[in-house]
Amino acid sequence: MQQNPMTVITEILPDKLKELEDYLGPIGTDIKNNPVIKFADYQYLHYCTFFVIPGDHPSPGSSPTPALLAFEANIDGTAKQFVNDLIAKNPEFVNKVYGCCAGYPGNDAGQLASFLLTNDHGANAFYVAHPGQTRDTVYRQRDIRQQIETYIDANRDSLATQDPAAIHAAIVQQLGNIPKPENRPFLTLYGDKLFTGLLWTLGLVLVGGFFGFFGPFVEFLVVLALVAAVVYLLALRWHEMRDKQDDTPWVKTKEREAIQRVEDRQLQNHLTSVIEIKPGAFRFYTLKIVLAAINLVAKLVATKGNLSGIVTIHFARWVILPGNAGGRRRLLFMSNYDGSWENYLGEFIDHASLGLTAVWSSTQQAKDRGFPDTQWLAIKGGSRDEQRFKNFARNSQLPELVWYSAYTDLSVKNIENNRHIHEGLFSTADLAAWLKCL
Amino acid sequence: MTTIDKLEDVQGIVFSGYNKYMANCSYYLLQIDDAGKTKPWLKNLVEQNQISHGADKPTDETENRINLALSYSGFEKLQLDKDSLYSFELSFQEGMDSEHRSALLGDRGINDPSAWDWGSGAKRVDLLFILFSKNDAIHNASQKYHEKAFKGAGLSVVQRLDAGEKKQDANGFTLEHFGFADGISDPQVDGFPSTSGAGEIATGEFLLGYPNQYDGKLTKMPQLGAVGEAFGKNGTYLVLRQLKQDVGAFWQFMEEEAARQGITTDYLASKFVGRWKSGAVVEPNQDTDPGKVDNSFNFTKDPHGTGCPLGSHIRRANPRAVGLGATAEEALKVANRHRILRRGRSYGNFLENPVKDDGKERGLLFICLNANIERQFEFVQHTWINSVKFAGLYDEDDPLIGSGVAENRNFTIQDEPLRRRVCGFQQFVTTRGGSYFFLPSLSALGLLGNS
Ligand code: HEM
Repeated sequence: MQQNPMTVITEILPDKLKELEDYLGPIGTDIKNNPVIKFADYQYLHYCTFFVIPGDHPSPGSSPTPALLAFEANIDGTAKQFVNDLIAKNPEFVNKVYGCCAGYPGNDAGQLASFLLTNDHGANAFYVAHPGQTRDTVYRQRDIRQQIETYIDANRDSLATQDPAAIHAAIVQQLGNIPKPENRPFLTLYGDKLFTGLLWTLGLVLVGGFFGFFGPFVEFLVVLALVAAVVYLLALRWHEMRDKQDDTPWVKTKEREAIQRVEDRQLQNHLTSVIEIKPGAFRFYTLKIVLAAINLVAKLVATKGNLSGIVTIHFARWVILPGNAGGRRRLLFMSNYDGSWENYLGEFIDHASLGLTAVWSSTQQAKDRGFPDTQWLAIKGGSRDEQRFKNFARNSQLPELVWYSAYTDLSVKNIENNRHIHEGLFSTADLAAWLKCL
Repeated sequence: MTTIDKLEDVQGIVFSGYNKYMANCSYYLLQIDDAGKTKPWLKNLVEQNQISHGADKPTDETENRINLALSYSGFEKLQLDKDSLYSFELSFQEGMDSEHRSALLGDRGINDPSAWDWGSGAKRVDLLFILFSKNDAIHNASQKYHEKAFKGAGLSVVQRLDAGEKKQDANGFTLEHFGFADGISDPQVDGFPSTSGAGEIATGEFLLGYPNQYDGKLTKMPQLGAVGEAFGKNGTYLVLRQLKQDVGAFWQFMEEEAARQGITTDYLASKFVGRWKSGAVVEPNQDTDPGKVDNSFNFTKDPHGTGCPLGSHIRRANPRAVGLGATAEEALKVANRHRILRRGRSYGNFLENPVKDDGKERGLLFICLNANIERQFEFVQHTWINSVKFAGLYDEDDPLIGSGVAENRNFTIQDEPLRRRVCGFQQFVTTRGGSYFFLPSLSALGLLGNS
C-alpha cells in the first residue's frame, strides 16, 4: 500500500483559538493515555501532528491574517479512507476540533469528511523513508526480529558452533509459519534506473538537438531553452545580490522555550517550520520547480531510507500554504525524524546542503531577514554557513500541540534492518551477512 | 595552517593538562558573594601574571599553574549587560542542570541534578579556579594562600575537588579507575604548539576566533559591550562533570558475566571499552591484549564491529571513518565536526581489590574544551554516547558510561557467525555534579577585572 501525505489547513475562528489550544494541548502532553483519542487505534496512521500557525498582527496598510490550524498525517492508503476511519471511530474529537474552525459544516459525517478533504493540501514534495511499508508491516517485522533475538539470546552457545546455513535453518524452524514479506514497490526497485534513464534522455535531447540531429525545430527549441537558462541564471544572480541574510543573534524566546520543552525527550522528534517565500513571481516559481524536482527524487531515487545522505527522516513534506497572507506566500515544512535537533540539522548541512539550500534560499524570515547568502541557487553558501543556518531554522520553527508517532522505538535504520531480517528468512543468499543484521 | 595570534593570551589548559610537571591539582568551585571584591582580585591575578598561558611552558622548576573559568551566573554576577550575556551560546546560558540540558545529557534517575553534590540549586557555581602544583608541599602551601585570598575576594567555596592518586602503565599512559589506559586519543589541533604540520582538526573547534571545521567559518563568539568579539577571541567553553565510577560493581559484573558466557573477564571488559587495558584497540579475531598501542586506526578494517564493537565506548565517543557517510572520507569529515579536547583527571584512590568495593568514592573529573558546547560535547554525549540508536543499534547506550535508564543497559558484541549480547546490567558511572564554564583569554579576564 502506498504512503500518502495529508495536510488539512483550516482557518481558526478568532474567538475559538484558546478553546482549541486548551482542548488539543492536554492530548499532546499525554499522547498515549489521554481520555480523548487513542491514535494507536488508527491502523493506517504512522505519524500525525496538530499545530497552530499564528495569525499576523495587523500592520498599517496590510490586512490581518487569521490563525490557521494544520493537521498533518502520514498514512497508508488514501486520505479519504483515513478520514472516514477517523470520523467513524471518534466523531466527537473531529467535531470538537473543526467546530473551532471557519467553514465547519456541522456534525454530519459525510459533510465533515468532505470538509476535511477539500482543505487537504497534500504536499508539494513528499519523502517516505520506506515506501510500501504499512504501519502494520512495520509492527509485524518488529515482532519477528524480537522473536529471533530472544531465541538467539537463549541459545547462542549452541548456535554459534554451527555454520551460517545451519543457524539460518534453525531460526526459520523456530519461527514456524511466517508470512512472506510483500515485494518492494516497483519504484523502490527500479526508480533509480528510471531516473538515470530520464537524465540521459534529457542530456541526449539537449546535446543532439543543439547539434541539429533532430531537425531544425528541435534545434530551435534547444537553443531557446539554453537562452532561457542563461536569462534565468542572470536574473537569479541579480536577485541573490539584492537579498539580505538574517543576522539577528540567537535569543531565547518564549516560542523557543516551548519548542525545547518537548524536544529531545525521546528517540524521535518533529520539526515544524513556517517561512515566508521571498516576494515576487520569480522566487515563487523557482521554489515550485525545486520542490517538484525534490518530489521526483524522493519518488524515484530516495526510496531506501536515505534522502541524499540523511538517514534519519521517516517522513517529510513541503507544502506551499494556500492563499497569500497579506500579499505574502508561505512555505510549510514538516519532518518526523530520529535523534536530536542538533544532529538533524547537522545531517542536513553535512550531506544535503545542495537540496536544502535550493529550497530555502527562496525564503526569508521577514524583510531583510533572508536565508544565509547563497550563490547560484544552491551551489555555494546557504546552509553551509552552519551557525547562521541553524539560527534561521530555529527562528522559523513552531511548537506542535499534538504529535503522535506510531513507533517511537524504531529508527529509520531499524525499520530497514527489520525488513531485511524478514526478507532473509525466505532466502539463502549470503547468510553470513544476514546474520550480521541480528 | 592556522597560527594562533598570541599564545600568551590563551589560558594554558587549552594546550596541556600539565600531567607531566604538575602532580597535584585542585578544582575550586566558587560562588561570588561580593563582585565588588572579586573584580580587583581578578585584576590582580592577571596583572601579576598568575594565570598560566600558552607561552609559559612549565619546566622542572615550575611550582604552580592556575587557570580560571566562569559560568553564566558568574558573568551575571560580574554585571555584564544583557546584550553581552545573550551573546554566549544558548546551552551555556541555560546551564548543565537546566531541565532541557539535563534531559538531553541523560542526567535522569540517580544522575539527576537534584541529587548532585554541586552544580545545581543552592550549590550552583559561578567560578572555577584550577590550581596545579608540582608536589604535595607546594600544593598545601598554595591552597592555604589562595583559600585565604578567596575570602578577601568575596568568594566562598562551594566545593573543592582534588585530583586523586595517579597510576601509570608500562607505556607511560595514565590509568583511569577501571584500570584502562586513558588520555590516548586527543585531536591533533591545527596551530597548537604540540602539533606538527597542519594537524587534523581546525583550531576554531577548540579556540574561538579561528577557522572551524565548516570550511573555515568562525564559530560565534561571546561579546562584551564596546569591545565586541575581541572579548571572546582566544577563549573557549569548558565542560566539567564529576563522574563517579563504581569499580567494584564493574569488575564483579565482568567476572560473573564472562563466566556465564565462557569468555575471559578482560575480553568482556575490553569489548565494553573498545580498547584493551593497555589501550590497544580491539581488533577482529583477537583474544588477548597485544600490549602495543597504535592510535592511527579508523575502523575501516573493522566495519561491522567484530573487533571493536559498534556500541563500545571509544567507537561511540569518536566513530572515526565508519558509519557517518557513504565513503570513509565523508564519514571522517562528519565525525570530525564533533570532537572534544579532554583535560580531566581522576579523583579518589585506586581500589585495591578490583572486585571488592571499599565504600569510598572515586571517579573521573571529566573536563573537556570545545568552541561550541551544543555541537561538540552535548552532541557526543547525546547523539553518540547515550543514543540507543547509534550505528543502527536498537536498545543500548554506552555500556561503560551510559545513563541509568534500566531498559537501555544492553550491549551487543558483534561476532562471527553470531553476535553475543549482554542484557539488563547496571550503570557503572554516575553523574555527581557538573557545570558549563567559559574559559576566557587573559585579556578578557583583564577586562572583567577592570569592568
Ligand atoms: C568515568 C567516565 C569515563 C571513563 C572511565 C572513560 C574511559 C575512557 C577510556 C579508557 C578511553 C580510551 C583511552 C583514550 O582514547 O584516551 C576513552 C576515550 C574517550 N572518551 Fe571516555 N571515559 C569516560 C567518560 C567520557 C565522557 C563523559 C566523554 C564525552 C562525553 C568521553 C569521551 C571520550 C572520547 C572522545 C575518547 C576518545 C575516543 C577516540 O578518539 O578514540 N569519555 N574514555
